[in-house]
Amino acid sequence: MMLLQTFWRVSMITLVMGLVACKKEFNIEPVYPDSEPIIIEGNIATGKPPVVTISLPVPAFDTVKPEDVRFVHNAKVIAIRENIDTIVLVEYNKDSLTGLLWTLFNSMLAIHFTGIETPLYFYSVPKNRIITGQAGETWKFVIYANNRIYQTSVKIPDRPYPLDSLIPVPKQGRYYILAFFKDPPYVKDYGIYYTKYWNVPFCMGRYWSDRTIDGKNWIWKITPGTCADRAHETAPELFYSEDRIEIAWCRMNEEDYEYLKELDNADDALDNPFDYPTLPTGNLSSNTSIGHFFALNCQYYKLDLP
Amino acid sequence: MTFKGFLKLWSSVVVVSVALAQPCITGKVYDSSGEPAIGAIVKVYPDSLVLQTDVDGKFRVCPQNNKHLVIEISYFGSATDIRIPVLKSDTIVEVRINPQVNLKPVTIVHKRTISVEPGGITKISMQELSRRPALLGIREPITQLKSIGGVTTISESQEGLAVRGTAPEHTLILLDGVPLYFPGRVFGMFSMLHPEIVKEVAFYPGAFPARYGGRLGAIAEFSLHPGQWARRKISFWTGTATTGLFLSVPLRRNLLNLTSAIRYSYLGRLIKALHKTPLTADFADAFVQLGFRQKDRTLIRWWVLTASDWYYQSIRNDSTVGGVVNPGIASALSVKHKLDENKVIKSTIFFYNNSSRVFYRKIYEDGRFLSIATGTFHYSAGINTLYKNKSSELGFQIERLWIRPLTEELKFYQPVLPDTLSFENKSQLYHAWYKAAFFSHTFDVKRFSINVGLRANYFAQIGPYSRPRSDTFVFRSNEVVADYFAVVPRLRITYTDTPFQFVLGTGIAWQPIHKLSQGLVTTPWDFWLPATANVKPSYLYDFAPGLKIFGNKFSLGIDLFYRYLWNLYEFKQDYVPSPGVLPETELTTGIGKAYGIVIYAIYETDKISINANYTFSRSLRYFSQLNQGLPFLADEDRPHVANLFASYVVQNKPSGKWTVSLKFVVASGRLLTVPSYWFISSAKLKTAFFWRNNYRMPTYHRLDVSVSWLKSLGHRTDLEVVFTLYNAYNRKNIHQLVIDEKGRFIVTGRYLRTEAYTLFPIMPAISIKLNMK
Repeated sequence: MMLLQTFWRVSMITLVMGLVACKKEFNIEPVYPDSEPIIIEGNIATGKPPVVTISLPVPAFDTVKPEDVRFVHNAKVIAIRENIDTIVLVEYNKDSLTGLLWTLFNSMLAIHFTGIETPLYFYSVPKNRIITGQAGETWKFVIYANNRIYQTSVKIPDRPYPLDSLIPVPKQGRYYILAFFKDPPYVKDYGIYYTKYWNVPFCMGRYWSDRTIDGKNWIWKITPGTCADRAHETAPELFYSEDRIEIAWCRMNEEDYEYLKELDNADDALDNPFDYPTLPTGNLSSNTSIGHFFALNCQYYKLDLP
Repeated sequence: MTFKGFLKLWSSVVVVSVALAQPCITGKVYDSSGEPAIGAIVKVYPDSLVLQTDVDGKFRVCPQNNKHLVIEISYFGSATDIRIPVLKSDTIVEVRINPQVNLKPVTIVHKRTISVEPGGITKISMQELSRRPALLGIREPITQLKSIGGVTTISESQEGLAVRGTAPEHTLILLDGVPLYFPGRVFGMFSMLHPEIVKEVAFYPGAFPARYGGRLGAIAEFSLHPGQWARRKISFWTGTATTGLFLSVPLRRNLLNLTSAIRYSYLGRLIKALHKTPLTADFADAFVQLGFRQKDRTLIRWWVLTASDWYYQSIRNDSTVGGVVNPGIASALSVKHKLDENKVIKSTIFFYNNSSRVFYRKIYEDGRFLSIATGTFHYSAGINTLYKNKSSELGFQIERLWIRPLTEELKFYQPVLPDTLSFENKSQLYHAWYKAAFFSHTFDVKRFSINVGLRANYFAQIGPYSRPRSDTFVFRSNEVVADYFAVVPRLRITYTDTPFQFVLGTGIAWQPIHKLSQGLVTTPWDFWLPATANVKPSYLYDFAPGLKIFGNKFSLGIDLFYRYLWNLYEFKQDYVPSPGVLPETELTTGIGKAYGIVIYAIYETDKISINANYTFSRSLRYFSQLNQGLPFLADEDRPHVANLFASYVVQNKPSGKWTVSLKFVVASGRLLTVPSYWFISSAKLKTAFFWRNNYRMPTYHRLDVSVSWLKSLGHRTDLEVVFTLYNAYNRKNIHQLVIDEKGRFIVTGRYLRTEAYTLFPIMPAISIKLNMK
């Protein structure tokens, strides 16, 4: 459907362009009601501690820079594992992390955005009680912020089906990687991969639904994630020679897939009047928030390019 | 006159009229086909009273002088008169206007081509619609209705008619009794209704009679050209964007006739020439009608209308091709029989289909091949029957629906892999029955005419069907999955006291089928979803009082409306189109209300015609799962809309008739949902459409001008040349906004850049038409 929507977007814009008398730059000042949403996002992955970020949005038609991101401090964030362990998460500043904590959080999935020059604040387990997620565990999160309560519950899925092989393919003096695998039939497994090179954080690559590739031999083209430093270079889809690459090959739940799909559809609707203006709902029990909690089960593959 | 003064005058008129209680004449006027003649001009001498017939073709007058009365009645250029030597008591008269059997030539007041009743009920001839300037000179009947009071659909590419705060899906568009579910073509700029085949349109903006149902907001019923029974008629025209031919010939004089029409556009070539885009976008339609009549009592007609539009493009040479094909067909067999002068029975069997398909094929350099296609599929067939006499209507309607909202096919071949990815995914085929029976009766009491109606509706979704996300509920063929029954009342009270007419229309409307659009504008993926176990029929309560003041050449009206809607459906805010998911599980329900005022004024003489209207309309929606549970303005909300149409016959001599026409529209901008916030999710900076309809586009206004020259060439042949200037002062009305993310978050900052697209600049067009009778 995404491919079709892409085509549809291109063709409809072309059609409109075909009839267009002129186009001009235009200023918009939308109406904002008094209330403002809160952005809450988190994840729990196998072998990693839970991480939660809480921030406030920036008006869409303002220019947004890293320093404009307003993190919500002093929120009370509670993680409950399997209804047994209750952990009050503590707030960290990414830039003040050192040693083991830096190593731990720098390998986290889906919380970093590269080059952010303002401090990135997040909530995670306290230093003296590092608890990580395990396959099949249910984690509940309760957040008290801005005088409201938000809560959700997620379950870490089973192990992902392993890759058969990873093959670097040279192109223009650089490389992309082909990941070969056979999708198991009749198993509803939703997938996502993240990549990192050297010490930069993991960035999200591609995600997929079982519906399209169920039971098939399949290939994914593995590229650096879109949040990487190299995203704005020429040919950002290629790695460099001698890169040390790590791939997190993960399985996620259907609701995680749906949320990512909704995010992408919202992106498509931005520049396409023929798309539905989707607002991702996420799995938080509130209509005054945006965000989602992910539960991932990942296998890690390392590869040194020639 | 102040409003207070006006009320004083009004009340004094009422009091005086009641006090005198002189004998009255109640009349009903029929046109040549036996239908009520709405808006016929009735002049009563020697009092020189002028009035118009109402929506049922009725009039009532209580003249002061009761001797040597002459009642002149004129309607669409035909006229007749009645003479009453002495009016001793209340009298009922019935008149049939027949252009071929005029009893006696009388003075024609003028050729009235549009009439508006209190309550906004409007009857317009195609002759009137054709006088109005149109885009590229293509006089689309549906598009021209956008300039009627109460209609808030304005711009070129908005499909359908949003009326008095309801959505376009709430307006039923009928062609000779056949519901047209997808009448629009090329994003609603054009339609499947060929202008030549339409005779006139009756438009009910609310509180419509009981014989209409299945929609909430409004009815636009187009009646077909009756065909030529005595003499052939051939019209050929060619213009800037279309060429067409209309032919109507009597195969057996006054017994059997054949009418056909064909139209083809070359819009795509125009676009290619203007913009050099690799795009083709065209439409075509064809119509055939066979008519049989016997002794002016029985009329049998069979007709087929087919229309299609298509647009496709090749991107980056021919290795990528994609496009849309959108064919539709409507057909009906109707029998109309007059039992006597007052009793008519009409029955229509119909069939309708529209199936759109979007396709895309791409061959990659490395040998990969991708082919995808999607589409929707809509069939309906049914029968409706109407019996009516002087004061009552009785009938039923049965319709069967087959709808498949979405199909998707995909084939993807990769040379390096043994498997070709291939799947065909079809959403469920919905089967449904819609059955309705109705009755209405009109009581005439003094100056009051009271029409009371009841409509009983039954809608059933039937199997085969599998309930979404459940394997345990599988329904066999014809097994009822969910059914709904509703009896809805209609009431219309008319009080007439020349030159005033007051109407109160109220009632409940019921709609068991919902049109869902998967984009902000019309797309080929739009589909009608029947009521199911998860989706109930919608309701609307209508309350619409209206007042009309009319004279020989002018009429002025004020209508108020308040509408309350419930069981409305919209897609959930996180909806992403996918054929793997049944749309009925992706909907959320809410309520709505709309209110406003419509003011219209008409002035018509033989030389000048002025038709102006202003609509103030607000429309709100309340959905607990949309807009964070807060009320929001509906897509149709446009507070102010004003239309002016004027035409002037500059010269009418043997050398030719010159007419200048102009159309001006000004309206509040359309509402759009634009991003509200930046936020960070999954390590990316994203935008959120958090608030719904949070931006109103700038005011829309446009002036169209046309100049026509009509010349008789002799031998019953006319030549007409029309020059049209669309958007005469080149107003850049915004059609769409395209928003792009720009800048780097950590370097310059990220921002949204908005580009406004306007569709049509000043557009000259010329058309030449040859009429041979």
